[in-house]
Amino acid sequence: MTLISAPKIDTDLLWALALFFGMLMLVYFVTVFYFRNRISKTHHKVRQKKRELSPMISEFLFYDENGSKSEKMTYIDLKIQIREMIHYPFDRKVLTDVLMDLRKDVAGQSRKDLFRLYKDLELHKDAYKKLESWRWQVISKGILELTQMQVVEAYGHINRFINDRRPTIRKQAEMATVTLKAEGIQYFLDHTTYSISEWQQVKLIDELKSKESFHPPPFRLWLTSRNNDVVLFSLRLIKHYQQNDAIASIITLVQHKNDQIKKEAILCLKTFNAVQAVPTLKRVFANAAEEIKMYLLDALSHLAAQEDLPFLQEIVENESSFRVKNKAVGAINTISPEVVMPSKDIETQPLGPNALRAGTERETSLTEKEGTPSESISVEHPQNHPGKETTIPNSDKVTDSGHVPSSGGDREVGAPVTLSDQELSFLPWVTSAETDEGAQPVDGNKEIEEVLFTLDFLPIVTSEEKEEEPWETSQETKTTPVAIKLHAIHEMEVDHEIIHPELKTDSNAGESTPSSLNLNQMKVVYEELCGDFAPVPDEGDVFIEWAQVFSDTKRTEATENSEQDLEGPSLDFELNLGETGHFWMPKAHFYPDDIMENMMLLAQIEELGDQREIPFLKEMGQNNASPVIQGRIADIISKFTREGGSASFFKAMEFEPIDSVFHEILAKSDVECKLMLLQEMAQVGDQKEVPLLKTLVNDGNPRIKKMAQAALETVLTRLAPEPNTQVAGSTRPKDPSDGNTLFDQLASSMFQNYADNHE
Amino acid sequence: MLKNQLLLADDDELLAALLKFRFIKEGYTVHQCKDGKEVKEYLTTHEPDIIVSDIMMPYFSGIELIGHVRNDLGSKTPIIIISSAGNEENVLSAFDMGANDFISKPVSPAELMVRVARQICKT
Repeated sequence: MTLISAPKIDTDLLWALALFFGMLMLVYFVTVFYFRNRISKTHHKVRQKKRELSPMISEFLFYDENGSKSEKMTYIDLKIQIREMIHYPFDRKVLTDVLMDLRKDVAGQSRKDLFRLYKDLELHKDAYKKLESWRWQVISKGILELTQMQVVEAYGHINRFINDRRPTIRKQAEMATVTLKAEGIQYFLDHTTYSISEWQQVKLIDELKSKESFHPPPFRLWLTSRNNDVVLFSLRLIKHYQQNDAIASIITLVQHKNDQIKKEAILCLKTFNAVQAVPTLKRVFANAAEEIKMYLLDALSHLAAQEDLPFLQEIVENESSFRVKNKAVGAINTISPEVVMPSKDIETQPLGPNALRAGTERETSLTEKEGTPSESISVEHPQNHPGKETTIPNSDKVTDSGHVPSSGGDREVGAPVTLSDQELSFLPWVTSAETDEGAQPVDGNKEIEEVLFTLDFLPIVTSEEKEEEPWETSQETKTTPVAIKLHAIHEMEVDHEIIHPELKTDSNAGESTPSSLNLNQMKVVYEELCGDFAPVPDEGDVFIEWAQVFSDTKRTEATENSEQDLEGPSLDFELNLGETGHFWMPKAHFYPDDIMENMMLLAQIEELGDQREIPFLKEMGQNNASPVIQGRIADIISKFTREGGSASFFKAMEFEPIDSVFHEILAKSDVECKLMLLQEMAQVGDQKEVPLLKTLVNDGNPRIKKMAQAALETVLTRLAPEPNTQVAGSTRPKDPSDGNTLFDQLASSMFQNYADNHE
Repeated sequence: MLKNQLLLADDDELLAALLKFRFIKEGYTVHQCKDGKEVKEYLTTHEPDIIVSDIMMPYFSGIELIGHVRNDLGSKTPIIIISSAGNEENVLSAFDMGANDFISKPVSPAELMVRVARQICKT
C-alpha cells in the first residue's frame, strides 16, 4: 500500500510536449545560425568591398595632375569604376563608411581632399535623404555624417532641427549648426528655445575653440535672452573669450533668480576684476544661498579692498555656516594678509619684559564671541614689515571684531591706540630726505610718535653709461648684420647638390663683400639635400633658388627676328646679369592687331569660362586660320577638359545625360513609350545618348534593360571610329563628347603634346 | 645606397593601405604587417631601413616592438610611432624605449613623409 502515488500523465502528451520543445529548439538554433551567417556574410562582404575601395580612394586622394601618363590612365579608369559602383546602394554605403573612417585618421590636405571626394561622389545626397526619415536615429546619423564631412551646404537643412522635440536630433543639430558655419553660433543662440545641457555647452565651446579663424560675436547680446540656458551659455562664452565690455549687464545678472546664472556672473566678474561690482556682491550676499555665498566671498577676496574688511568681519561674526565663515576669514586674509592669525589650540606664552621692549611685534587678541575663547581671532601685525609700528593717541580703538566703532562709543579718551600699517594705508607716506639713513621720527606730526621705514625692498637704481650700439651709430657698420647673417648661413652644416653646374662662374672672379649683395657675384645654384653627395661650397657663394627660372627649355637667347616667330606662345628669357652673360631676361612678342584681339578674347574666356565654352572655341578654331590662335584655343580646350575631368568630373558626368534630347522625354514616359524611344535612340542616337543608355542598362525593368543594351551596342558600333581617321599614337582617353572634326584632331594632338611634355 | 625599405605596421587596414599607397608613390618599398607577431617574424629575416608602427596592435604593441628592435635585435633602425592615444605617458614611454619620432592620429600623410625622409637622412 502506498500513501503517495505518482500522478498519471498521458505519455502521448509527454511525447507531444517533447516534440514541441524539440521543434522550438530547432527553430531557435536555425534562426540563430541563419542570422549569424547573414551577419558574418555581410561583414565579410563589407570588408571585401572596403579592400576593393581602399586603393581607389588612395588614388583619388593622392592623384597628381602632373603625374605620368599611366597614372592618369589609371586615375580615369578608377573614376569610371567608382562611378559604376556608386549606383548600388550597398557600395555607396560602404564607400561612405570608408570615407568616414578615414576622416578620423587623416589630417591636413588629405582630409580636405576626402571631403571634396565625398561631395564629388554625391554621397551627401544620401545623407540628405536620411534627414527626411521619420526615425530619429536615421536623422541623427544623417546630421552627423553631414557635419563630419563638412558639407556646408547642409547648414540650411540641418538648422531647422535646432528646436526638434527629440533631444538626440536637437543636440546633433546644435552641434552641426555651430560647426558648419561661423555664424552658426549666433543662429543657435537666437533660435534655441530648449535647455542646453552642461555637457552640450562644453562640447559647443570645444567646437568653437577648434574652429580656425573664428571671430566670436559679442555674446553680451544674448544676456537679455528669455532662455535662461542661453544667458548662462552666453556668460560662459563671455568669460571664455574675455569679452569684458558687458560688465554692467553681468553685474545685473548677479541679482538673477537663477543660482547658476548668478554663479556664472560672479565668476565672470571675478575673471574681469570688476571692482565696481563689489557693492552689488555685498548687497546680494544676505539673501543668497550658501553655495552662492561661497562664490561671492571668493569673488570679494579678489575684488574687495581694505574698506570692505568690516563687512567680511561681520560675516565672520554673524554667519552660522561653518564653511562660509571660514571662507570669509580666508577672504579677509587675502585682502589683508595675516590679519586673522591662527588662534585655536594655540598656547599663549606670557611675554617677558625683554620681549615687550623689543617692540617689533604686537598682538591684539580679539575675542570673537563671548564665552567662546577657542574661536578668538587674533589680528597680527604682518611679519614682513617689522618696525612699521604706529601709535595714534586719541584715535578710534579697533574692537575685537575689527570694527572701528563710531565716535562716542566705548572709546577711552587719551588712551593710545596702536594700528597696523595696513590700516593706515590711506595716509600719504611723508618722509624726510634722510629716510635712507634709517628710521627717523616724522617732523611736524605730533600725533605720530614713531615711523620706522625699512627700504630694503626698494630696487637699487644706478646711473650707468649707455653702451654704444654699433649697428645704429656707425654708417659703416649698418650693413654688417647682413654680413653676419650670410656668414652664418655659410657656416651651416648643410649638404648641397649643384643643380646647374654650367652656371658656376670662376670663384676668383671677385671677392664678395658681405656688406653688399652684388648679384654679379652669384655663382652657383644649390638646393638643400638631406643626404651625402655634394661638397660644401665656398664661403663666398650666395645660395639662391633659381631652378624654376633657369629650366633648360626656357633659357634661350633672344634673337632679333623673334617678333616674327609666332609659331606658338613662347616665353624667352633674357637675364643679363652683367659680364657673366649667362642669364636671360624675358623679351616681349608683339602680335598683329587682329591676332591680338582674338588673343585677348581667348584670355578672357580662359579666365572666366569653363567647359561650356568648348563648342564656341571649336567653332572659333575652325573659322580662324592663324596657327597661334588655334594653338591657344587648343590649350584652353585642353585646360577646360582637364578641369572638367578632375575637379568636377562626377558633376560633369551627371550633366551629360541632360544633353540628350531623350532624357527628359524618358523621365516622363511609361514603359511602352520608353521602349519606343529606345528604338528611336538606336536609330538616330549619337555619343550624347551613350551615358543615358548606360544608365538604362541598369534599369530595374528587364525589357528596358534588354532594349537599352541593344541600343547601346548599336550606337557604339556606329560611333566606333574608322582606323584611318584616328590620330596616330594618340593615347587620350575616349571622351563621349569627342567629335571627328579637324579641331578635335588638333585638340587631341595638343593634349598628346601636353601629356608628353609633362611626363 | 638607396635607403627605401620601409616596414609599415598597423592593424587599421584602411589607414595602412592609404599610407602604403603614399609611401610607394614616394618611392619606398613597403612591407605591410597587421599585427605585432607578423612584425617580429618579418624582422627575423629582414632589416628595413625604417619602421613606421602603430602603437596599438594585436599581440605586441608598438612600445613592445621598439623594445624588441632595440634590445633583442640590437638594431638602430629608425622607428616612428603612430598613435591615436597621443598622451604624455605613451609619448614618453615610446621615446624611453628608443623611438625616434612620434606622430599622433589623425595623421597628415604629407607630414609623415617628411618625418620618414628626415629619419632616413639622419641614418
